[in-house]
Amino acid sequence: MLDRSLVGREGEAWTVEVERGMIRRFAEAVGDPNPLWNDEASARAAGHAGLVAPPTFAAALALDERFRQSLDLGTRLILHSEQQIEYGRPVVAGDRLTIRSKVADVQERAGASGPMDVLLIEDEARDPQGNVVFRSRSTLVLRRG
Amino acid sequence: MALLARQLYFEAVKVGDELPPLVKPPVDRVQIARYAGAAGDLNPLYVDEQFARNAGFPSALAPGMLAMGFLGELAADWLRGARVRRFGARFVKIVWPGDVLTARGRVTERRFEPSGAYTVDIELWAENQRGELVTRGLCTAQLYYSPEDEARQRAGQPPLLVTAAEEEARLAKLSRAQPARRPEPMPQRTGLPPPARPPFPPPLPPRPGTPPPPPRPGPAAAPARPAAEKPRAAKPAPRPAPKKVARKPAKRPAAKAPKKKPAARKPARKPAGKKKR
Repeated sequence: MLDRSLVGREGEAWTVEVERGMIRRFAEAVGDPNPLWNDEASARAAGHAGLVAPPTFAAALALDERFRQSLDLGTRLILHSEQQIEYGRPVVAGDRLTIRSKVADVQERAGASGPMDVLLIEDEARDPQGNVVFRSRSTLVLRRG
Repeated sequence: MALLARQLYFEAVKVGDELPPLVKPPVDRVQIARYAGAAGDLNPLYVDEQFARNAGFPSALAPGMLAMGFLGELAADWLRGARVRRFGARFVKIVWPGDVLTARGRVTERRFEPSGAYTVDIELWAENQRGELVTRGLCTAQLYYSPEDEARQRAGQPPLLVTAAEEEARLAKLSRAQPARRPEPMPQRTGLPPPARPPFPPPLPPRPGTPPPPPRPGPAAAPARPAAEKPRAAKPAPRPAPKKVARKPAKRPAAKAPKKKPAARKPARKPAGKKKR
């Protein structure tokens, strides 16, 4: 199984600027026409500083490919089985967020095709003032490939 | 665009309220690729057909997050801009290219928080064209109690404080003032009872042998045996919320008096952000 010593492993903090285009492309990919994420004037009229990101955007933003690669998952197949997000406030275009990811848990579970590893990754995004903008928890099931 | 025309206020929301179902266009491979790109999640199982087949799947598959995105679209539409505080989903079954998903939702809880925050829980789920449950979610959002509450808060004043008991008393008075429309004595908050709807969760194949299954909250229900698609134990018992089991049987019948707030249900951690809008 995956090494339990991965638990607690943290990635390096990195900072991302949320651009309008990222939000629009994300909303288009989902096919979600809500004006809050497609039309800046509507977002501002609703009291936001800019285009708002759809709720699931946070999880996408936090996905740190480099961190995942650093975990050395080998040839395992990764299946995303659960996602939780808590929001301190909505993510809006123009945000500069500093994101840090860590492995919160590793477990082994019996699956139909043999034992699987279940990896829980937590990400936290803060704004430059240090406020938590969101926390995200992704449960990944790893099947040995 | 009419979406933002008016707010959704807590006083107008009842436990049991249904969200109008959202039927999405078929999930095709272009959408999958586009989503994988936009989300930066380039799992080869989503975008590399050969890789997926070699791994034993019948084809490439759609990201679970895409279906969660549909649930978010439904919830955000209905919430009309109210603030989402928590959103979670479990990917119960794999979504395949060509699947047509319908997102549905229902209000399961409304809470008067002591600070003057008014929150609702919406359970959300998506079914495919075969009526199978593919995604199950829960969204907690914070609303203004009423237009008055909104006006106060926008003017920088503290929120309007209403307790569940006060609301109940006011509604009771209202219903005494008006001749009852129907025989039952419950204070109905609005004219129409919710229309009969497919029960949540959608019908599942009968569960073999296990009578009252304490449904396991864990993740990882979905992805076990893609290729053969065995009926492996049908899937863990349906459960409105994957999460904390602290939810009471908030089922349908009495969509009336909001319950006292459930002390049990604090999230383990709270975002440090500000509470008020």
